[in-house]
Amino acid sequence: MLTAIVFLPLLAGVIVLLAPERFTRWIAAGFTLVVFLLSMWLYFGLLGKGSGFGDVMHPQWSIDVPWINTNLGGFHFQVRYALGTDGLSMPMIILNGLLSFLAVIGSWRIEKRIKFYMAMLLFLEMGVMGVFASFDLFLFILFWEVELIPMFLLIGIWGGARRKYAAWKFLIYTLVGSSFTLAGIFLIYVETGATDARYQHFAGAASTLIGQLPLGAGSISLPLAVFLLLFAGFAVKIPMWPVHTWLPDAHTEAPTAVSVLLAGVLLKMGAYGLIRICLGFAPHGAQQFAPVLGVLAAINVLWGAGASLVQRDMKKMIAYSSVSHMGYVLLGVAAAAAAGTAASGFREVALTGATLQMFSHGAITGMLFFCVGVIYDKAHTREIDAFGGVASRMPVESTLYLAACFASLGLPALAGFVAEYLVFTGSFALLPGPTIAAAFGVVLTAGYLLWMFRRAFYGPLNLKWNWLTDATVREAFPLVALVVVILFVGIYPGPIVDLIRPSIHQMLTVAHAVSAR
Amino acid sequence: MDPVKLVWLIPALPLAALVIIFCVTRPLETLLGGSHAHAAAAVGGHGGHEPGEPAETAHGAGAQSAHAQSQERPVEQTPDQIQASQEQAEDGHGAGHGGHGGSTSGMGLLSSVIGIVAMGLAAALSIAVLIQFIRDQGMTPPDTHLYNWFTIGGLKYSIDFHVDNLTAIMLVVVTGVSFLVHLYSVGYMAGDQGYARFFMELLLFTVSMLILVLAANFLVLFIGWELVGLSSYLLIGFWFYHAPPPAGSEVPYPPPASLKAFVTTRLGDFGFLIGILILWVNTQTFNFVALNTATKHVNQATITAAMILVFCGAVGKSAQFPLHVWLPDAMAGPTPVSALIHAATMVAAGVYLVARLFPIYAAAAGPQSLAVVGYVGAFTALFAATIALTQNDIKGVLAYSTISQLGYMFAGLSVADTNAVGIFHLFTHAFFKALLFLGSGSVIHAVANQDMRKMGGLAKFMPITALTFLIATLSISGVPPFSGFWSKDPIIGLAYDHHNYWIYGMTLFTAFLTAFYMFRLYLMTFGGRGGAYLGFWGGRRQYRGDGHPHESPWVMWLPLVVLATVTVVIGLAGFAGLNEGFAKFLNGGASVAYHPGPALDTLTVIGVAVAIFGIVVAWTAYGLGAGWVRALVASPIGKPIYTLLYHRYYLDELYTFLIRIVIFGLSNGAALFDRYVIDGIVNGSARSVLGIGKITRRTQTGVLQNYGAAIFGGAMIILLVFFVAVGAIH
Repeated sequence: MLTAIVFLPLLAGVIVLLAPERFTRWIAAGFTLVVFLLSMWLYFGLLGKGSGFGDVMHPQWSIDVPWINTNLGGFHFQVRYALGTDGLSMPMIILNGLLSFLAVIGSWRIEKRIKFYMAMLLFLEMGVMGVFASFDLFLFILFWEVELIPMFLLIGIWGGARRKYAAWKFLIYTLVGSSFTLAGIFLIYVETGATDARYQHFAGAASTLIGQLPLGAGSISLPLAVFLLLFAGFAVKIPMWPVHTWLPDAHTEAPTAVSVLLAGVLLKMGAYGLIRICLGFAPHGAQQFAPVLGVLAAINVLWGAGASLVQRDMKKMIAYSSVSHMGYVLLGVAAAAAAGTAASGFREVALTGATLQMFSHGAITGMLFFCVGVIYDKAHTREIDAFGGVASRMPVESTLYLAACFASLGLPALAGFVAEYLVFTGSFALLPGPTIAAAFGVVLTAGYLLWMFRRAFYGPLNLKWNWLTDATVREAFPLVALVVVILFVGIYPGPIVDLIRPSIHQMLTVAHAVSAR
Repeated sequence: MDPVKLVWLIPALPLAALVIIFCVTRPLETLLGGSHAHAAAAVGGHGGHEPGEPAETAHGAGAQSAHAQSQERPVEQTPDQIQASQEQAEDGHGAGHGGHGGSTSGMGLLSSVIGIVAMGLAAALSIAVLIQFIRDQGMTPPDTHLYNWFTIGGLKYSIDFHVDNLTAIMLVVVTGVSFLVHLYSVGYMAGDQGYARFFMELLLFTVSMLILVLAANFLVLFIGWELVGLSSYLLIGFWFYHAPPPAGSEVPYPPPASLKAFVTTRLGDFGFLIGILILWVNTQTFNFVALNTATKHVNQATITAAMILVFCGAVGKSAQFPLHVWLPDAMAGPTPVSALIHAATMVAAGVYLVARLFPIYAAAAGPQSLAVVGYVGAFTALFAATIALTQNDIKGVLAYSTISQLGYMFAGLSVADTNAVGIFHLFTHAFFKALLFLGSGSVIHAVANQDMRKMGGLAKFMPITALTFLIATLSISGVPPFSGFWSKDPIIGLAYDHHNYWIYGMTLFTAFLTAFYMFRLYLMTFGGRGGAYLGFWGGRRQYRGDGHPHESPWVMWLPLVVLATVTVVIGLAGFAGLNEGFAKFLNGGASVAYHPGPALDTLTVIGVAVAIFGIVVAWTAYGLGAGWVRALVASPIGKPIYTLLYHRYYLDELYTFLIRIVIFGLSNGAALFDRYVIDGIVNGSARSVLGIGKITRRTQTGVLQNYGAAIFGGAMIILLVFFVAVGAIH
């Protein structure tokens, strides 16, 4: 089943390339819809079986066959085609399915080389699905690199004026980061003495990673070295301050649907890697790094919020707001990893919050980018101050935009609040200082979003925009779909939290056993 | 059937009405030809919104703005008057509402009827719940568990409602005032293009406020707390399409006002959240009842700090110094909104919060926390009253008076050993202040203006409004036998009894100021020199704007009469010992240890005398027309003070300055750091190490996709390099 989810988009992409152009959009929409429905079926299938959603030691829907098995210079190198899912990855798979489908809908009016564009979008979906579904480290990094190519091309070909700079910046940043991650993967593979790189080896055996690694004259704690190497690539992807500057450029240049996917799921790959691999496989190193990570998280939140406040371009502002919001994920992870005597419940709460924030932020920021896309497609500008009073012309668009803003600033009954509240109530017990600093981000977020909204949408209508029309049904469809998801999670978060919880619980039990040693 | 078991229906009714309007009547309204009016309004900015004569509305929905009309008027003689006429036009923005000739569409009317019926049922049910509680005062029904969010690692996040005596009172206040305001809005908002939207947002507010008062734990309370903030934001910005008033106008402008209200209260919520987190981490529960006992086992200093932080939330929501700046601006919303949200209910949420947590404040926390509450409250009462002396916008005066009265409530919570004194003032204030706002709305509706300098002698034209307004004015001034006397006097008296002489002095002096500014307002609006009954009824100085002042339709004056009746009845019931009964009721039926009501002693006599003195002083200036105010304001000592007060101590300017320097300075710093330092390093190293300059030049040939393969190859090379490197170590 997971194989189908991962490779259906690939098949669809090939079909799109071969089929006549007038069918392109419908083929892409059809296949992405099928993939989304399949991902939901994964969820309901497990729900129906009643066997729980599994954790990293007990992946659901798993498939595991040998693929590459070779000896290179006395070094046993084995890659297995191992796929599976658990509470950590399933929300991301569903989110990717949903956002990819909506992205196709949102790209309906792209005319420039539509076949190639849709194919790239589908290849991107495949890469991301692969990252979340992999249960083998080498397979993971393979999908991780595969996803770069379509993204690079999507920004570089269909982007705005400075698209080439943005595309290269994205690529170089990510490649430099992921090379460290790759080194980390080799290091952990070698040091644990595993015969293959399936997750189960490291999730349970993480405790074998202890001791010191000689480095030049001195030495460095081995778990910390592993953690930092692995984390380097994820930090770029999340993105964490100070390696975040590729994101505003990439977002500003990327077409709407690509921005949606970039913010909605690609950033989550970094956060997913951080939780699954760094925290799951190197908990000891994570614990040593947690105080620093907490401070970096607070910087992320405040820095991103501050930078959002002074942006003139709507998309750049939302890009910076992503930096800010991903800071809450970092905070939750830092708290879960931190040393301390606080009750273990708080760690679980913090990490569940971080995972939920990945989902919430994906839906909310995706919606925000769609909202900007609707208005940009008509007005061909995103400069906040160029508008004014547009709400009078676009009641539907402005209502949904405002809903997305409120979701983003953490209004209760919407998804963002649940995640942020969870993170704060968990992390305060372990990292009070960074939590207080990060909580101040909530005030700034309200400030920059509503200030933007007031400048662009409120006030007397700038007569220049008298001709603007409201969102069409096709344009409003992704917005309405996402607002329904956001409302559901905000009002009744039980189902998704129950899905996430088992994985988190297992992970923290292992981490606790390691740090207690 | 036991009404207490049905308490969940109270928020469910307005919620159902909201959903029906959103899903049925509003879409139908749009389909059935609301589009024409909408498009026209969008073009004209605020076309179709002229205040004033019916003749003007004959221009149709696409009519020109109030500006144009003001220019058509005959040019008046003195520069003073010309300026006044311009201000008239400008004030029209703030006062701009449906006008008289405006008709509401059938679907719009249906929407409001749905809302009114739902609120009527909810109010009736609330009264039934209150009666049930009065019958059985010791009743402690268990929490109503609605549903579970989740339980993680033994930590519970659950959505529960809690009903007790305090909740029962708040339910009646919220649903009662909300019902009357819904009714009133049918008249006030008639013909507005956003008529149905208005009722939806009003219902949304009511639901949120009910969630807030029904909350059994901090999670639910915080949800309601933020949602009332949302409805407040939406309703302040209800006329978001208005043009900004010109500089110098006292009338606030909706778009920035809504932003300011939300962000300022959020600043308070930041402290509130930290307070909740401290309590949570130490007790691992959000539940109020559980917290009452759990906090006793925690370090007292920790709880004290937490409770002061929680009070920060109340400071923001209840507009106390120094976060009060948003409330005067919130008057940009339609007047029924000001009455319901920014006078009677939402702004009192902070008081409710402290009252709800009173057991923790009084027992588990150190005395410092309640002292902070008391001093902030008393200082705010005085501070806001001084500003109210100088304002000329009728709603502006009332806004500062609200801030001041909320300060009284906090002072009352602080000086007594029970929350009954503060809550009783909340209770009486909700009715008489809603009455004052609805009365001012009736005036604004009639004369399409909110500048008191252009009013006067209106009592003759709108006797019902004037009489009910006078009752409320006497009540807020603390004149017996009206309700305000019974609730305010104990606050002042208890401060003295408990030797809080600073609070006593501040609240007593504020009582004088209150009487003065409220009668200044009344006399400037309804009375004046030469009027009947010593200038209290009508007057020679007639209304000087345009429009024909007249009494409002029955949907608007009926709520005024009901609220005035409540004010009088509570006042008269005071003689029968309502105060003691109320305090006993909040105490769970146990008798209270002291006199919560006024007794005929020196303190009460002083309090009433001070109020009467304030009324007399105001009367000499605005009823008799003695010129001492003008002389005082022109004098070398009076002038700078007047300027300072008129400009609200320049706090808005100070905050703006601070935000611009600190927040925007840092933010710009961060953005510039990203652009020049981080990107400088990135671009620089990329160029030198990877020679990206060459590559980017080549990409400009346009065959970008050729690089796809190259990238993948590159990734594989890196993979190989690391493989070899790691292999070499071993």
